[in-house]
Amino acid sequence: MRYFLLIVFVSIARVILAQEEDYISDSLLLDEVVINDISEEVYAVGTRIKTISAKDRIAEGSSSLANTIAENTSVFFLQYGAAGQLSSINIRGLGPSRSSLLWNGMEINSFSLGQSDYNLIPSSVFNNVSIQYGSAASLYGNGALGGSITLGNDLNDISNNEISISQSIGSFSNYRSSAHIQLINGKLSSSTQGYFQNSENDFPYQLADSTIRQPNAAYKNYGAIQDFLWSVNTNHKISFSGWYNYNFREIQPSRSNVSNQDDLEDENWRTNLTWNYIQGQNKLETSIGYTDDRNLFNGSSEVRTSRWYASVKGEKALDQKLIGFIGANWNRLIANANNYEGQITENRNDIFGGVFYAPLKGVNLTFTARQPIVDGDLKAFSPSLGFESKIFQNDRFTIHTLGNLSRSFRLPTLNDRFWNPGGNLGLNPELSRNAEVGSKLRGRWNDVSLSLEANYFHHLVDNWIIWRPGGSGEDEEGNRISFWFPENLREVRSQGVELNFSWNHKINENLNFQSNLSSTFTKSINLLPLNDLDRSVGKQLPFTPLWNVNLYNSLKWRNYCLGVNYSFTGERFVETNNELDPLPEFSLINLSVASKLDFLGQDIETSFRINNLFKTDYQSFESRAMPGINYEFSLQLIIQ
Amino acid sequence: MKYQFLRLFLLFTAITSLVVFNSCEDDDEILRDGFILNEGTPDEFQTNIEIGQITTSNIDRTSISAAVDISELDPQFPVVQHGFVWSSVNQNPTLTDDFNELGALSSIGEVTSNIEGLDAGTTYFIRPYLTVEEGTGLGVVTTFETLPDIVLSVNEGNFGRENGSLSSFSVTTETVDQTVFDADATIQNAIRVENDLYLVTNAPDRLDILTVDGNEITFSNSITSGFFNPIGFARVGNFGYVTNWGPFDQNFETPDPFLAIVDLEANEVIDSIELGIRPQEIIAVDDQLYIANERGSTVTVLDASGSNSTITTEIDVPFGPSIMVVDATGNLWVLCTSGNLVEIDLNTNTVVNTIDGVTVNGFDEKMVINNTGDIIYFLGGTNDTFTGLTNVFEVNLTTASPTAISFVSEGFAFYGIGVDPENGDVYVGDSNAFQSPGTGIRYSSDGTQITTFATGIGPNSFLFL
Repeated sequence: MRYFLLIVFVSIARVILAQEEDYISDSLLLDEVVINDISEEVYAVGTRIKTISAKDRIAEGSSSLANTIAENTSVFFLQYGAAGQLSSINIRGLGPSRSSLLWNGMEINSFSLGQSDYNLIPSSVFNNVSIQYGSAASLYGNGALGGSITLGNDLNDISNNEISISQSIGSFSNYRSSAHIQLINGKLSSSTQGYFQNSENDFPYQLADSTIRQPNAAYKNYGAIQDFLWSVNTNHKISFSGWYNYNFREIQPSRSNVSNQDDLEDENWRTNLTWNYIQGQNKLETSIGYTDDRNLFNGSSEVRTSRWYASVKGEKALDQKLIGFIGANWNRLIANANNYEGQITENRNDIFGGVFYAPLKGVNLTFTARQPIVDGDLKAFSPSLGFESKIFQNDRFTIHTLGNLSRSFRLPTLNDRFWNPGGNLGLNPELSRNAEVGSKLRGRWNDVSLSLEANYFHHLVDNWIIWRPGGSGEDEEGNRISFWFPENLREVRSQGVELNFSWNHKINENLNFQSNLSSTFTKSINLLPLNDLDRSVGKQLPFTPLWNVNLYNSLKWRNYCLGVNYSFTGERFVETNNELDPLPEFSLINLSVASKLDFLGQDIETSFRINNLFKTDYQSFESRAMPGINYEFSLQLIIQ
Repeated sequence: MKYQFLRLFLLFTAITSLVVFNSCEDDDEILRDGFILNEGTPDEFQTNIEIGQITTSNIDRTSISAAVDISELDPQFPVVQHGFVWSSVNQNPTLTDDFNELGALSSIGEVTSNIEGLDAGTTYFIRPYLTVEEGTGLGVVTTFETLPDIVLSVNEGNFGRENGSLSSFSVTTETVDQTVFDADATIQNAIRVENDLYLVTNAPDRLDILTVDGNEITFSNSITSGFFNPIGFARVGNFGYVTNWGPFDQNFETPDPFLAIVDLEANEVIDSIELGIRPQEIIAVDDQLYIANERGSTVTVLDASGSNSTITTEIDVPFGPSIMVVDATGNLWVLCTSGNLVEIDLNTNTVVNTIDGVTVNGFDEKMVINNTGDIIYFLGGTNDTFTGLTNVFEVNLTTASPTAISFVSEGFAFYGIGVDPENGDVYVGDSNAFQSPGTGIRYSSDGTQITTFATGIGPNSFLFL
């Protein structure tokens, strides 16, 4: 029984213990802990999960989820300009709308756009950020083709009352403030966080022979998160989370377009209430939630999407080697937009379940499946089969192998279906067939621990939706109009390799060296021509680098830490034919120094960060200027 | 520059006696010290005429300038005719090939001539000739190559990504050059007037002025203020007239459109005129301007007179006048988003003919007319919502009751059109849904596809150099 519990719990312990290392089930390394919720990650066997610890984030001074993930992984982000601008995730070359983002189990990708802006989300307010690589729609639902990001705050491990406040000041009039109050009183735990950021973002850049200050790129972001956990008794726990986020940004125009004054305002309300019932190894989890997303372009064109959410999941241990779960959720979307015809509603339901089976010691198998239902119609059935197996072990090294076969889906977005004019109700969900295999070596001797991991992935996405011009219709006055419209036109194959290496050397009591290398090779190509003239078959998808590499080295001495972050982004084509000059590859180096000092019995953490140390002139997106060298200084006071 | 002087020998001699001097001669001509003896002349003699080698300049698609230096004449042999002979086939051209006649020659110096009527993209052999009473002598052969026929593709680019461009397609060599001009903006329209090429761009809003010299396109100037969502351009004299949508309001309407008046000598916007209805194209006919008010049902007429320009009348048309061409009779044809093609008599500014029920795009229509002003081509869709712009229609104005008939009907995402003024070939741009650089498709005037070629992103029109 103990063996079984370990297998199950290690997947979750990664989160609870805020492990910094990449995760693969390993019953040898982690201690048994008590788990209350039903975690999808238990069943994500055969895929790779990376957790980024809160400690890392503080040391690196990252402010947005985009920065945090980009600096700790080789996941590529397409940044539509400098800090504060739209930043879209692109895992495994499948594009921004083919990754899932979940908060407390609820999908929070924009229902109108099908993707998220990772610059809108502050990362420091979550103690749980994890990235599950690869396809897992059977577990995470809609859009989980390239990967899934999960966010949340777990209050189970709160042990003391704590107040912290922090203030940062950076180049280009960038100010960031946050406060966090964490309280525990018997059975009740509470975490209250507030954050505020404001930046003029008027960095200089070169345009022809003159240097100009970036116009129209300022941004402001603030919000608050409240988490409660009420541990009623050993059988019942009730948790509540509420999150308000506001963001205003001027939309950074292209380099030459200095007179543009577009702006975008985003406002999000998100709440979730969960009741966990635990009886031995059997669990029942019931959640309800509500989200409200509003964005406003130039103060006038509004898209507002609200969603009611309910889910119920049950998990039962059938014997020592077999555990299973089953569940269902319900999302009712209600959308209003200037460009929707009246109020739009859509019911998205899922029925899902799976089993985890450990037939032998060191061998884990899973089968999971999900059936999405949209407005009563059965959509893409998405099963998944995964395995992990320990294939070698001695007193220093352990080698695991893993693999996964799955099918995933992405539903057409509300804009795809209802945008007026152009929305196409005849669209089918995108479907992907996925396979991956990998291996991981872990070693530990003396004061050194290391991890070496290699994964091969293969995704084949059919019914890929693109928008095209030439739609024809009539406006409200009956006049003929032309518009863009979406169709299921492409088939895309993305395959590649993820290589990760981490090395930790505790040189002596006071000195520790750590190195993490993440790299991804992604060959993501189009397989289907739009027509006889289309020359894009076999060509790399736009804005998808072949290589993306991230290396983070840190040296910790007592309470001081020196960190160096190197990233390499390969050249990226800007169009599907690969005929025009690609955006050049670029390398960036960021440097950070952090310290944790005692001040009247309380902790003071300071960090100083230099971004783009070598003043690299680069573009992430076509014709958008990016800042040269810039600085940020942060001070955090922690009172316990 | 002369690099070689040759002594003129006019040798009346037997062909066989001279063959030894020229191992590469053909068709019974003999090379001797750079001159070829005219065929069939029985006798031989020598003059003191000295002549250099041809230099060529101003090489264009169908013409060049040729020059040769005559450094010495011989009074005993007065030159009764001189000129140049050339051929693209005969490597040693004679008077049986193409030639010109520059008349008698009585003084030394440089002889120049414009050689015209050449084929584009072709290698030619040329040499001078001099005729005296006794016969004709021919100089050293020089070769030159005319410039190829170039079709410029005006590539709109993805909005906001500054990747609008001009690319070229050589009809002769079927090669593409994607680097002719990078606009760093979205190109809405490209209008050529004489040797000036005007690009109306937005994101950012500009009027770029380029110079066309042969096949060379060079940047000349850029006007960056005074526009707001500019769209169309026309020139009358030294003034340019740019239609502007103006800013969008909260409903994405454009309540404040205007016409910007540009002083093309000072290169600045000097004035503007309110328009009232969102305009699309503007066209100049003599000193009159016609503005297609696409979000309304009128064509606005102005007297073009710089900042003194005034609106003189409004012509009522069906909804959505978008683009205009002038036919051989001087009448204006206006394609409307309502699906009507109307003919306006510009003498009376009245609609004299309407073709109903044509399938159009519904916005920013694309229409051209051939060089003889009697066949109109325009892009059209279908009546299905999700088909795309797949058709080209033609309207033959020489028929008694012109109608729009299908010219090409199997496109995917047609976006631009042009017609070659030389031969009537029709060029259609396919945008490939703006996913990538598009494709130009060349059709003969009977609708037969000749070839395809790569363009930049969003080919919205074609210009013919």
